[in-house]
Amino acid sequence: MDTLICAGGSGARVLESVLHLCAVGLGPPRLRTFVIDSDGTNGSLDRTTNLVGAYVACQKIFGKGPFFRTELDLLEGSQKLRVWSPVVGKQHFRDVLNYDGLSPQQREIVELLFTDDELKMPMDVGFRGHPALGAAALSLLPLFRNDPKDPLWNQVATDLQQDVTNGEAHVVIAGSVFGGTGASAIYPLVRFLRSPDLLAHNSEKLKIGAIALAPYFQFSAADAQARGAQVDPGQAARSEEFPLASRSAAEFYDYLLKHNDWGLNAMYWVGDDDPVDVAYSWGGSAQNNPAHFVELLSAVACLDFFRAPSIRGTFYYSGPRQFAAMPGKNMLTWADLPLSGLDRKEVRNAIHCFHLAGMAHLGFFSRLFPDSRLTDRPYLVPWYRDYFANRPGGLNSDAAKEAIKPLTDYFSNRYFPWWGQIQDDDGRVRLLNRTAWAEGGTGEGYVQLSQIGAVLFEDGTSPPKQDMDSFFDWTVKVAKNSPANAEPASRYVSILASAAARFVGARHGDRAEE
Amino acid sequence: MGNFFEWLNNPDTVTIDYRTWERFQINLSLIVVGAVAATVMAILVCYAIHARRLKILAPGDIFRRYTPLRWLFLAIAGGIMAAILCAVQLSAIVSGLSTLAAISIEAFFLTSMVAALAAYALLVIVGPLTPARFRYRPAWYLHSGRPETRQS
Repeated sequence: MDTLICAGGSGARVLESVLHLCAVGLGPPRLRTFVIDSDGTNGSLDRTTNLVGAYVACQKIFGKGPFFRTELDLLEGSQKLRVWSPVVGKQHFRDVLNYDGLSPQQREIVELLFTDDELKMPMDVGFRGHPALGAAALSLLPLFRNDPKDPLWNQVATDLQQDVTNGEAHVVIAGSVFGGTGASAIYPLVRFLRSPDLLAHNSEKLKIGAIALAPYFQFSAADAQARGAQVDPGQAARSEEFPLASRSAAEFYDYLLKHNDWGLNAMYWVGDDDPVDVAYSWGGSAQNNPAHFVELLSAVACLDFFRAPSIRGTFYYSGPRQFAAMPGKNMLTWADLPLSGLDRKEVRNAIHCFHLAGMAHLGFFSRLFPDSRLTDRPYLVPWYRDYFANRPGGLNSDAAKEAIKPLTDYFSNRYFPWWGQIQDDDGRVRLLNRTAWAEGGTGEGYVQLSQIGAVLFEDGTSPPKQDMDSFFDWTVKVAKNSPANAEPASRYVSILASAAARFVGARHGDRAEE
Repeated sequence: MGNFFEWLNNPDTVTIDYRTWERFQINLSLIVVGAVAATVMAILVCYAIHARRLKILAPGDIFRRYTPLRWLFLAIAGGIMAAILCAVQLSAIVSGLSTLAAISIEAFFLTSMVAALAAYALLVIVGPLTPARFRYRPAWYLHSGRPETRQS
């Protein structure tokens, strides 16, 4: 099984992107995941936790089809995303280190490494951009190995041991290298996972990759203060320091690699040197940055590592590029996705298919099914008449309506809004053409059925008119191959997926790579 | 080509001899068969083009009236054509207007009915004439009940 450990707010947002790609069908069969974050209230984490719930709901219903295939293991049979923190409650940093319980000599060492302010710093909203604090706290990880109060690490160790006994186990650690929790978590985690007492045997089968996010957003505490926002100038992270922190991290990991103390099988550096402005926050629920394409790149890198763990001991770099079409700005195209194990065309087509299926569902079928005229004359939609109408548990039954609800919610409240954030307004992300959406949004009610096929073309181009008609035609043609023994809702999604695949294949999928 | 109008009685055995009437019957057969064939072909072509041009762009379009079937009314034009040709043929051998009209009307109905029925039967039987998305529209009455259990 593959394991993804996400650290901090950026890590949580990478998990968000990974989950969406799993929904697309690009994920591994099973994925064990949890988050390390000492700021359990941060908005990004909250968003990802909700997304996990929505994903699990869809996976249970549609997981046997082409979408939502990845089964999540949230540890200990949990249905909710587990968030682990080395900090308990509202501890101060000195409490985390058990400063009062240390010997005088140990205290002197602690005082040598940390200032008095840092020791007194409350940890309720994370490490506030102080990776030194986080690294110290997370270096205590082995102490949590057999924590009776929280058996998470014990279970991780047991599961990983089982994984390496059955074959290769792949672990990816994702986090930023410029903030607090993420920056401090990667190396202590690698060291912990490589420690001899974690895996009793077959430890060489454990492949570890890291996704290191370099700065891709910035904020200004001064501007926020000028607007009257509450600012914590003393202790909170400052985006001016992000480049320096990233450079230090890069030098650190380079040093480790050169001195054979790296412990990783691959490390992906992902970032954007044209960072976006985000609202200032020093943590808590206000820390809820919109999704960014760097997180998408990170998610792709993560899935690529799962698919191609043969990558050995190397740094990989990924980010957008400059194009003549947009001087001074970075642009992201399909060619910029960090892929080696996954096929670029496969990734692109899978995203196209999911997008098309979602748009057809939201814009067309979810509006069609409740229409009583279809109940009276089901033959108007041949596959609806053949497989769903007048049957117990058909698509017009209450059970099917309930089953389809999570899908509608996923598309309209999770997936498309996330893409809307990824495809920021300045046109730098050229992956999917925006003319498929009406002005003002990417959710339910904004689907341009007359331009649904535009999504197959890169943004910034003038796509040929490709309307709903041919997609509907494909649903009719492929329906006979849909799984007869599947639940109605699942069969419906299977029809959507097959039609989308044929639509993509016929219109665009077989076109030569740009 | 056989004589399909042997049943059509000679209206005036005194002035129209047997051979003239038989020739007329054979000509009428040719006219009707030709008109039916041409009409059926025209109906099917027009139907297929129209059905393919009918787009489903929004959920409401599903419930739109299936207008391509209206091309079956083209059979009336076929019937009129046959009736006119029949009248032209008949005017040379029959003097009475009522006889001419009666036989032409018979040709009209025969051509129209046969063309319409043949065209309808073909567009129901020959699947590719109807786009897949409208598969059940031409013979909706066969598909409006509970579908049979199908296994794919």
